[in-house]
Amino acid sequence: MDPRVALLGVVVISTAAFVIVTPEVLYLILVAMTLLAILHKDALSRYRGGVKGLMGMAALLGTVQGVLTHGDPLLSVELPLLGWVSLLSVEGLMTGIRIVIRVTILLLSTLLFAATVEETSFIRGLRGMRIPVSVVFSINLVLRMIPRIIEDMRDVDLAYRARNISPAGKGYFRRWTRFVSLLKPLLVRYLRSSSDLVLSLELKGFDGKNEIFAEPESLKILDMISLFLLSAGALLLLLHGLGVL
Amino acid sequence: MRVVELKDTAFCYPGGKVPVLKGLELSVTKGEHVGVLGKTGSGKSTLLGILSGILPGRIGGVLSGSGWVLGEKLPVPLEAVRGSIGVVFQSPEEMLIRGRCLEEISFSLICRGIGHRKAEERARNVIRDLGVSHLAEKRTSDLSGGEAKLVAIASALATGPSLLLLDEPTSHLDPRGKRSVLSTIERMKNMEPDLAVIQVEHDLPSLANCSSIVMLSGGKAIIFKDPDEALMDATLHEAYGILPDPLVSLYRTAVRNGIPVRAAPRRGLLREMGAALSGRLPRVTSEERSIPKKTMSVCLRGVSYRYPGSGCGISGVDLDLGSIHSLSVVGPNGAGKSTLCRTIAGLVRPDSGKVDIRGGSAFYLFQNPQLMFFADSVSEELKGRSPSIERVIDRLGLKGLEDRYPQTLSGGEQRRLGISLALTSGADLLVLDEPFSSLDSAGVNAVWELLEKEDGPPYIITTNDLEVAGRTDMLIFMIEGKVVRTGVPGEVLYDIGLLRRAGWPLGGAQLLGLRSGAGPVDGYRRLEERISRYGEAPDGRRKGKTPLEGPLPAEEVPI
Repeated sequence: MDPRVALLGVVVISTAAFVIVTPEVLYLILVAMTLLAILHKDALSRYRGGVKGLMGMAALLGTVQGVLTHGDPLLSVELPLLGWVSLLSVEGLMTGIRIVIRVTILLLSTLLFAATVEETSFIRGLRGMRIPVSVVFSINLVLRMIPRIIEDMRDVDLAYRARNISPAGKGYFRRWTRFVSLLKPLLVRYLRSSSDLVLSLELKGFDGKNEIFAEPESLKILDMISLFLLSAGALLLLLHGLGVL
Repeated sequence: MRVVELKDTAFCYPGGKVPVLKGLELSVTKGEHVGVLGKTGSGKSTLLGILSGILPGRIGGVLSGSGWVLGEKLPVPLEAVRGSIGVVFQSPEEMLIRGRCLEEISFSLICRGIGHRKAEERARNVIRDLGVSHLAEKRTSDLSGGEAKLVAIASALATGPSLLLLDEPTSHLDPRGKRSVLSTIERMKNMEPDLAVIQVEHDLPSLANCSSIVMLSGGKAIIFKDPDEALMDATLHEAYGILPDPLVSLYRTAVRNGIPVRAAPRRGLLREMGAALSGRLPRVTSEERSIPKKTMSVCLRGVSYRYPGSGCGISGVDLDLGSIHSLSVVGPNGAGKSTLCRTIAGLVRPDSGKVDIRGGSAFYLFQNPQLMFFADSVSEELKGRSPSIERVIDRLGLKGLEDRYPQTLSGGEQRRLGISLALTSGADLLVLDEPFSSLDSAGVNAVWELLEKEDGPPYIITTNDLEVAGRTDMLIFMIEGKVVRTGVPGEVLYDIGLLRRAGWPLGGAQLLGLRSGAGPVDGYRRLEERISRYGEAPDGRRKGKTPLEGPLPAEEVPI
C-alpha cells in the first residue's frame, strides 16, 4: 500500500477508535483489524515482545477505568490497608473492555503500519506530502539510528552484568538507575559517531537543501479505492463528531 | 601525472604536544595503488584526513609544510575536492544513511545535482561493474560488515573520483569478506585505470596487490616502490611494530635453516616453499600438546538461542570442554560465535538446553569494548583490581592514559583497556570476543604473553585468524549457528572440505602441510618448529632432497 494512504489509514482508524461510542461499530473495527493482523502475522511477529508489555498496560488502564466507573454493583472488594471499598459494576466492566478494545485498535493499526510500510517508501511518502527536506531527512536519520540505539542499550546492559556492576536499589528503581548511568557513555559514543556522520555527509556533498528524496510513485487502483474509503470514513467521523450523525 | 604531492608536511592535533606527522614526503601518481602501513598511532588515518581536507579544516590542529592534492594547495579545502576524492571510513556501516543500498550509492550523485533517474542508473552501472549487483535492493540495516564496506566503496566510486582513500577496508572481516573487498578493489582499478588509491592497512597480506608501499614511523614516510621489499621483510615489520605475515615468518625460518627457497613475490613464495619443503616436515599429532595447569570445565547440552525478531543465534550446541586451557571459536561473520560465548559467560539465557560452568565465574570481553566502560577515567576503571594490575598496565602500554576518559580513547587503546579489565578481573574463565582486533604487533605480543602466563586462568577467544586459532589447545568451527567441528587446531584447520564449505581461503601453513604430505600440523607456530627441524623425516631419519613438485592450483593460493 502507498505509505501516504497507509498513514492516513492509521490516523482515521485511531481517531475512529476513540471517537465512536457505538459498541457494535467498535467491535467491527476490532474484527477488521484483527483479520488484517492475522494476514500479516509474519511481519508482526518481530513486535511480539513489545506487544505483550503494551497489552499489559492496556489491561491495567481498562481495569482502572472499570473500577472508577459508577453503576449497579456486581462485586465489592474492600482494600484492607486504606479501608476503601471498590465496586465493580456492569457499566464499569463494559467501559474497561471498551478501553482495552480502543487501545488494541490503536496498537494494531500502528504496528500494521510499521510492519508493512517500508522505511524507504515511508520517507518518500513523507516527502510526497510536501514535508520539508530537512524534516524528512531528520526522520530518516532517526529511523536509521533507532535499531542501533536499542542494540547498544541491550549490549551496555549486558556489559553491566559482565562486569558485575549492579546499581543500588531493586526492581523498577534499579532499572531506572541502570538506564540513567548508561546514558553518559552512550551519549559520548553517539556524539563521536555523529561527528563522523556529519563529515561523511559533507564529503558526499549534502548541504541540507538538496532534493535527495525521489518523488513517490503514483497511486495504484487499490490505493485509490483505499483512499476513497478512508476519506469517506474520515467524513463520517467528522459528521459524527459534529453531531450530524 | 601526480595527484598528491606532500613536502616536509607536519601535523599536530589540537591540544597535542607531539606532532603525529613530521617531515613527511609523499607523492602519488595517477593509477597508483599505495598501501600505507604503520603501528597504532603512527599517523595513518591522520594522513588520510589531511588528504581529504578533514584535517585541519573540520577538526582543527596545526598543519605545516607545502604540497597539493589534486591541484589544491595544503591545507586542502574540503569543499573544493569533495567531488574528486572518495573516502571510505574504517566503520562505514555506521555511516550508511539511506534505507536501500542503491539509494545509498546514488546519494552522493543526487547531492551533486544529478537527477534521481540518472543517479540511480549510474549507481546500477557501478555496482554491476564491481560485481555487487545482488546488494542493490538490500536494506542497509541488514548488511554484514563486509557488504557495508562494499557499498561504501561503490558509493565513493559513483562520483568518478580521481583519488580514493580507504581506511582499513578489510578490518573486522572474515576471510570471505576480506577476499570480496580486495577483489572489488581490483575490479575497481581495472574499471578506472587512472584512479589513484591510497589504502591504509594493519594486515600485510591485504596489501599484496599494491604498486607501492608507504611505511609510517616517527611521523615520517619510508617509501618502497617495490611492494615485496616491504611486504617480505620480517625484520622491517618487527622494527616498525607491524603485525607479521605468518608466511613471511615461515620464509625467514626456512632460510635460517638452509631450506632452498628464493625470496619470490608473495604468491610465488608459497609455491616455492611448498615445493622445497615437500616430504620433509615431520608429522605433529595432538598428543604432542602439553596441558597447562589451569583448565576450564564447561559443559553445554542442546543449547539454542535465537535473538528476538531475527533468525540469528545458535542452535543445538553440545560441548564438553574439560582438560584444556584455551579454546578458539572460529567461523564466518554471523556464525554465532559471540552468541555462543555470551551464553557460556552466562550473559544470554538459552531458549533451551543447559549450560554448566564448573569452578567459578566467567568474564566476558565484548567485541566492542567501548560499551564496557562506565567510569570517568582509565584509572577509575581499573581501581581496586587484582595486584597484577601494575604489570598489566605496563605491558599493555596503558601508562600515561590514566587520566583519559575511556570513551575517547582510540580503538586500539580501548581494546587494551578492555583486555586489562579481563586479565585483572580475578575470574576463573576469560571469554574474549575478538581480542586481537585493532591491535598492532606490540599489542598482540603483549596480550599473548599475558594470556599464556603460567598461573593465568583458562580462556576462550573468538577469532577469524587461523594463526591465532592455531595457538589454542582446542578449536571449534561454527557455521550458521551450529558447531560443525571440534578438535585440536591441527585437525580442524586441515579439514579442507569444511573450510571450503565456510568459504574460507586456505592458509599458507595448510597448503604447505598438504603439499608436503606432512599431515596435520597445528598452525604456523607448530609448522615453524617443524621447519626448524628441516630434514628430519616423520620417522626421525634424515633424507635427501626431493624434486620440486608441480605448481599449486591457482584458486588455492591465498590472498
